[in-house]
Amino acid sequence: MFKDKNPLIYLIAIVAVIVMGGGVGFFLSQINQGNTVVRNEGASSVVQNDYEPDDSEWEDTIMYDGKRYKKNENISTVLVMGVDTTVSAVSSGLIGNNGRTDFMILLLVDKKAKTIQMLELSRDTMVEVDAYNNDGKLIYSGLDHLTMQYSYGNSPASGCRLTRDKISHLLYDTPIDHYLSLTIEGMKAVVDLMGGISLTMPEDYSYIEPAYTKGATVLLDSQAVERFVRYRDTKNFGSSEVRMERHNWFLIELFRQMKNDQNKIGVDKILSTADPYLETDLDAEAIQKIMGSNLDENSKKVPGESKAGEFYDEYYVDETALQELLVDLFYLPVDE
Amino acid sequence: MKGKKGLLFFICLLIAAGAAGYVTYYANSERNRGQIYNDMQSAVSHPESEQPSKPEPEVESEASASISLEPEVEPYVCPVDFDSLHKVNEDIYAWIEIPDTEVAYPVLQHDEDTYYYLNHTVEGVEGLPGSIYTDTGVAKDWSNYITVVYGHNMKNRTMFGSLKDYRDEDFLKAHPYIYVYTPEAKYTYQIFASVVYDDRLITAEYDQSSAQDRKNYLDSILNIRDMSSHILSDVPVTPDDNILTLSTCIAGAPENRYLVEAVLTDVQR
Repeated sequence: MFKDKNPLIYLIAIVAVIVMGGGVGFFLSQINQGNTVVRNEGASSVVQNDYEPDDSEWEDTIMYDGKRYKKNENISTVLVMGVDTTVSAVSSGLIGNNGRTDFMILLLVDKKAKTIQMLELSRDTMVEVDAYNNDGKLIYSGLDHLTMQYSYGNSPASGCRLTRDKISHLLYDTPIDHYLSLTIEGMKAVVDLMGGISLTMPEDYSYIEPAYTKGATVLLDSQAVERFVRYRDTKNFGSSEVRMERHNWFLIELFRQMKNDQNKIGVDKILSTADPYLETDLDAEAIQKIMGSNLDENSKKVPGESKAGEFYDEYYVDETALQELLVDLFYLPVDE
Repeated sequence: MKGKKGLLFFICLLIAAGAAGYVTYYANSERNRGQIYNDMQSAVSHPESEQPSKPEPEVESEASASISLEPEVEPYVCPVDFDSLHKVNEDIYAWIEIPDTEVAYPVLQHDEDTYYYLNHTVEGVEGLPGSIYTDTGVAKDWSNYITVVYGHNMKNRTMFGSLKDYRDEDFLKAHPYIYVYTPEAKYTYQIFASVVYDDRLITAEYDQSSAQDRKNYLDSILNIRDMSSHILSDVPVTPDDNILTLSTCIAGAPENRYLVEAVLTDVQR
């Protein structure tokens, strides 16, 4: 019938048929206005999205300051915690023997760019701490220092998970993919394994040791490292913020020197040395990958304000600034 | 064209025609069903767009002794023609409106099948876009502590399809009031939250006659903390207030709902 006609004929035929089909459909819908039959298998299926037109605008996007953003899928998060086990936490009659988290840094690992951004949290951040008993039952919730949440776990792993969930909620339900916690003793063991850690003081820390003047290069053994990170002048208000800066900088140095020495000692040896003091849901391979990334030395801090509490410093988060920071760290603008 | 090729081509044409016909039929049917709401919106006056000022707080009128004082409270004159609306459907018992948005709809309630108006329009026609409705048994004078109003999240922004604008905090702050009209009264609600929630049945989970349940419900809203939700902490709300919840689906998240939460601040009778 068609022989070897111009292919354009076929195209016209298809278009014509579609238009006619559409026309018939339209005509039928006009005369059939009362009789549309729709599957109705009961309330639950009706409420499901079978009938909700797909609105891809919503999925994984947020509106902030009049603009639309999408989650950066390349970022995974690891919560690194330094646990102080030598002090048993006392709060409202409950004693936790697993210690408290002295420092908490969230690593934002960009799988694509192979960089790590650090987000520091102050131990004194005031949050609704959930107090559990030894059977894991929630007793009450009350405003307290973030460091305390760990102490209500009935095991190191449980303390890690409680802290992880509390921080995730603080960061507007940002998912935290993994955690890694190391006690002070574990950190000391690693430092000894590495033969000490060499630090060039970025600030004047001579209040800790006279030799720690700005610019001085000092080799610290494990005892000196412990003193360096734990030193806290409780008489000075706001001293925990200064201590946080020290932690942050120290962590960069430790990480960098672990990376540089990697060939000499090896991640496996470091991990086996740290193992008795380590609590993590990362496997060795995952840790290797993190070690292979570049640490962005410009770390961020959860924004807020320090206030003098009855006994200790209290840090109150600035919600507006925090939301802005989270958009900056975890989201990418969507082109419209 | 050879025989086999010709047959194949013919079958393709048939499929194309069928597909075109089905799509057109379905899309146009939905549009037809929604037309009634356009008609109703044109017929109903929009008092809020004529009076953009904030609602007056209810004030006790002076004792009307011998001196005739100007009454401080205007008696309520219902701006919605419920007589006309009832000619379409007697189950219409209120009109809900959010000024400067697309939300302006009759509110229905079926007295037996609580889900009826999820899937039937105000004309009783089955299928999307359904209606704006409340569950069977919910107080029609809006006196319940917790009232949930449902509507579909339509892609063309009809029904509750425009509520997603409340994801933007600036929009939330610029559109803080929901008005509900009945023949007897005008209810003013101030929005205090717009949140992503789960799909629990709020009325089944929380017994609004229990003070503890009401507190639990309110806490479940106020404790939400994510980048798609907003809580306005400067809007006072307690478990003893009347709370209005607008509930709609979220496309791509069938186990969630999007809620706009508002507290009753004024009743004008």
